[in-house]
Amino acid sequence: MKQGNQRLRRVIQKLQVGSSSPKVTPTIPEDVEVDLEGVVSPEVLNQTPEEVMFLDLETTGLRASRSLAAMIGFLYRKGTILHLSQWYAGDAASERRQLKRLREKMAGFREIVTYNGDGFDLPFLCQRWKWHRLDSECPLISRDLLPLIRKKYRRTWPDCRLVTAEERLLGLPRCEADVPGSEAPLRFQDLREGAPFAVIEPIYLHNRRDLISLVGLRYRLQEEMLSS
Amino acid sequence: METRPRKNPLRNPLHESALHEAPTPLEVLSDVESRLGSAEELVARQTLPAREAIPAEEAPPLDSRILEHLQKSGTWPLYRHQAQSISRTLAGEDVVIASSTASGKTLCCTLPVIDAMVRDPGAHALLLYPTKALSQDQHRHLRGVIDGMGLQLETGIYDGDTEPTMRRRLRRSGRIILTNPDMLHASILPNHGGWGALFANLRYVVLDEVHTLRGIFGSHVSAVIRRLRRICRHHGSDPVFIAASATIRNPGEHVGRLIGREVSVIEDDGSPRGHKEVVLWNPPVVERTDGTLTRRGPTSVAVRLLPELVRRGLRTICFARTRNNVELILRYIRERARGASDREEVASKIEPYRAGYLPTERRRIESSLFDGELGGVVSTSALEVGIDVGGLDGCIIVGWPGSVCSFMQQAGRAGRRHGESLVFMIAGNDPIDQWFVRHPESLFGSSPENAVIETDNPYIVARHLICAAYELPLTSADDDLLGPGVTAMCTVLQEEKRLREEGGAWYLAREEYPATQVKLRTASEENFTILELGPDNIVGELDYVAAMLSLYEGAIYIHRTETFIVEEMDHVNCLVKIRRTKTGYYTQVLTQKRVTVTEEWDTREVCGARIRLAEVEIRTRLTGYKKVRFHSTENIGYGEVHLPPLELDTVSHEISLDRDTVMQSEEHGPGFLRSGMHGVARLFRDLLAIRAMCDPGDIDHHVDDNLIHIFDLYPGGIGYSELGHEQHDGILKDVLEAVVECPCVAGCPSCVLPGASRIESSLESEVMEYPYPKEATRWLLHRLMGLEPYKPELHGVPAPVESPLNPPAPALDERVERKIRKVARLTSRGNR
Repeated sequence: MKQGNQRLRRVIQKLQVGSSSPKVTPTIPEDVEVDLEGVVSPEVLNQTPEEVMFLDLETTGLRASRSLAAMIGFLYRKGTILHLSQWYAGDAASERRQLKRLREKMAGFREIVTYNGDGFDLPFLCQRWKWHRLDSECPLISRDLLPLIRKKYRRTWPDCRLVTAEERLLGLPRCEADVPGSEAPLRFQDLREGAPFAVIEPIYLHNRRDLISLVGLRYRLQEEMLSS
Repeated sequence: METRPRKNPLRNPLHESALHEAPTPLEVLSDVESRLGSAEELVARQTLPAREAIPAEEAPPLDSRILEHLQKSGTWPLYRHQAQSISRTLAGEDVVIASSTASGKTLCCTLPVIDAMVRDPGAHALLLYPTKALSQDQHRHLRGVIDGMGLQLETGIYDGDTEPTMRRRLRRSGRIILTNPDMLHASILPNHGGWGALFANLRYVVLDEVHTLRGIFGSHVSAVIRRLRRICRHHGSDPVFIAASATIRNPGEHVGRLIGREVSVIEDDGSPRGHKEVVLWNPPVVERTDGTLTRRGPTSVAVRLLPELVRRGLRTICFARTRNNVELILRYIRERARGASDREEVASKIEPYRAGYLPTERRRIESSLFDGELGGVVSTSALEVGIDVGGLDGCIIVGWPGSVCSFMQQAGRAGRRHGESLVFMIAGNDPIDQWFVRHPESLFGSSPENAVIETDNPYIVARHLICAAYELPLTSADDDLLGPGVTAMCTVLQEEKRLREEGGAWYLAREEYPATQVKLRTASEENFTILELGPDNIVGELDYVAAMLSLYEGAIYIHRTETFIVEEMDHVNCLVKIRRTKTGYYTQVLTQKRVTVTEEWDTREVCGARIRLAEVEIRTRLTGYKKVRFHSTENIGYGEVHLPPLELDTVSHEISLDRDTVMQSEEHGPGFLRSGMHGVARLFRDLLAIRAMCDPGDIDHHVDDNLIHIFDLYPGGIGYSELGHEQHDGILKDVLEAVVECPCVAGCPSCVLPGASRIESSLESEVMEYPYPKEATRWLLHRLMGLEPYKPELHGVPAPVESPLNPPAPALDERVERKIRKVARLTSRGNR
């Protein structure tokens, strides 16, 4: 630069005055790290290998090119308990941190279980990794449960959403307080625009619920496969 | 543009009805000459002789289907420069083709693109044109070739006028996208995720009319192109650049700076050219009714000449400098024609063309000019760049168009491949016009100009870094594309809370869409829409600064020769409401400027003054407007304007006259020094513009107390005043030469007085009415250049004032002065 950084600094101060009202980015809430006990039967737990990661993303939109992976939720077995991690990212910079951590975490697993992960979660992740200029190949073997469910129950069920699968295969109706996943983008938006953190608490619960169901569904599908 | 079938391009509607042989352009010229009052008016005449085509020796390695098509459509063989350029492009080299107007540059750009499409069904290309009108024209041409070959290719224009459905379609499946740098910057790059197929498979980027990508616009575009290359690399492509330029001195260097890597230059023009006569016309000096002398305006010459040429069957384009001038010329032509049916018929075959008309209206004028329905068109430089309006016989350039390059482009609009054409350049009263009239060799003889861009302006770089951070996080990997200082600049931007670092990458610190805050061409934020009350039609658009200076309540807006009065300025919705009205006057805004230095960069002592280069803040207050009668230009009243002041941060070359100079000037009476300062400032600015190859309108000057400011009219500066600071002495020499050589006695608008085209209405009457501005300017120049003291001849001026009315203030200790200045600067900064 010809005139050094002093000039640049003043220029930027100027730019700031002209731009729209500044929005305060919320600080990242503490990431959720909990051990869950007794949420699945010992039988299911025993049949869940430790090298499997269950993953569900909550995003700020459907298009990876202009949305964030605002919450990365994943679950795995650690001995006799299930460990749940839910990492929140309110902006691109913190998303990078979480995505990078996720890649490091993934190194300890072999298989990734999702519901419609091949159609959404994994391409979304890869695109976000690429955008952040990180390594963008998914290192795990993907096991998407949605195609298996579809193949089997497409003709008999009204739809193959995760909620339906839970109800029909696991006999677990969702409680009233549960918000649909499609509401997540709006709630993340509210939070970024200054709403209290409580607006996304239902998303945490929803995500946790989805992940636990994945463990159950995987077990059921495996059982059915063996028995047939 | 050979492929487009022409609807009888030689037909002239007036001729066919008159049923007589059309005179050739040269016959028309000798006729015009014979009717002139004085042969001195035509100061220089240059013949550019006809030239044969140089065909290519061997065909470039294009796909056989393309070669077949070229042979079928009669575009065979290619000219030598075309074949050369296409071969290099196909070999993967970045090229720039610099050749004259209508030399077939379009094919050099489009053939490799179509070749890539034919060979690779996944290939994409991006074609950038500086104006919307040009992309329309080029798209027609491109479709002509594609459809002529029977190819199924999705192509389209993606600009501000594109419908949402078409936008989606182009994003999804467009193979060749035509757009402009502004759209690339504000819409395509920020949403590159939606253009994945384009960026992953981008084979070619075409940059047309690169000589127009200079100055402010060019500096921005170079940053946009760096962002483009970064996005391409991210998606895995590395496109080849094909640039086309008018003849400038430094095409290779310019394009190299623009795209950030070296390019091959093809300058060897093999296209044929018809005989062309270029005439420099200096209108005569005439006596006003009050006895003073004035040069007849170029407009009044054009108003007579254009209908004459059209009547004789020469299809003619007339270039005026400003939008207002376009309207005025046409209005005067229509007024003169009123009552005589043959003249009215001629006048009805002439139409205006300028920015601010709606796109549909412009398309209609372009095509009727092309088809030969129009006999003539009066245009701003909007029609200067490559829009194909067919072969024209004549071109009238009303006033110096700003650069040799522009002049050549405008002159190049006239001329067919075969046959004669005529170019008239009618000099105005401005110093630059008169300088070229006195030095015609620099127009025809010397090599043309350099295109200048500034890739280091921190205003530009910082803005584009923020835009780039939106597109992809910034990392040190961007150094090779965005410049080695990226990391350092990001750190500063982080301290200022615009970026945030995370693991070696920088992100935007807050949610925003930064591209909307950066305009490539002007410093203005918004465009104003102009609405006509009554029929409630939208009649046009103007950018913010232009609107502030010309559309205040009470202002007269001229559109297609009709006059409208501005009834309401709606700043919230950026809407101007106007009502049709008949007036005999137009309006001119009055302004007041204040310059505050914010940071000093360089200072040095010269004879009689201290000069310094400094960052300054300039506040322009609009104090009112005056009403000027059409034709006679007399003042017929004033009005008030209530608008916030315009603010500009820029770089200024300041000449501060020393106390000695100020005191010595006082013996020549009141008004002497200020008149001289204005004279020096005006000429300094004009002659700097020639050296910096920019429009004099990009530089402004201001005189205050003992200070002359010469500053860039762009935030952050574009390097013009820096050049003035560097070449201060050389420019002063030019200034003195211009003053001495001007044949006037006491000073005129061709040298030291303000021209009618300038907004300089803030001048106090003391300066306006000072009777010997030329002597005052010469005296000051001698002081500033360390020459022998000049003895001004001031006839009838009061004897030297013995005791000055305002005795000089007691000298201030230098250290004290420095401190006071520092405090002043700090506080002014704090107020922002």
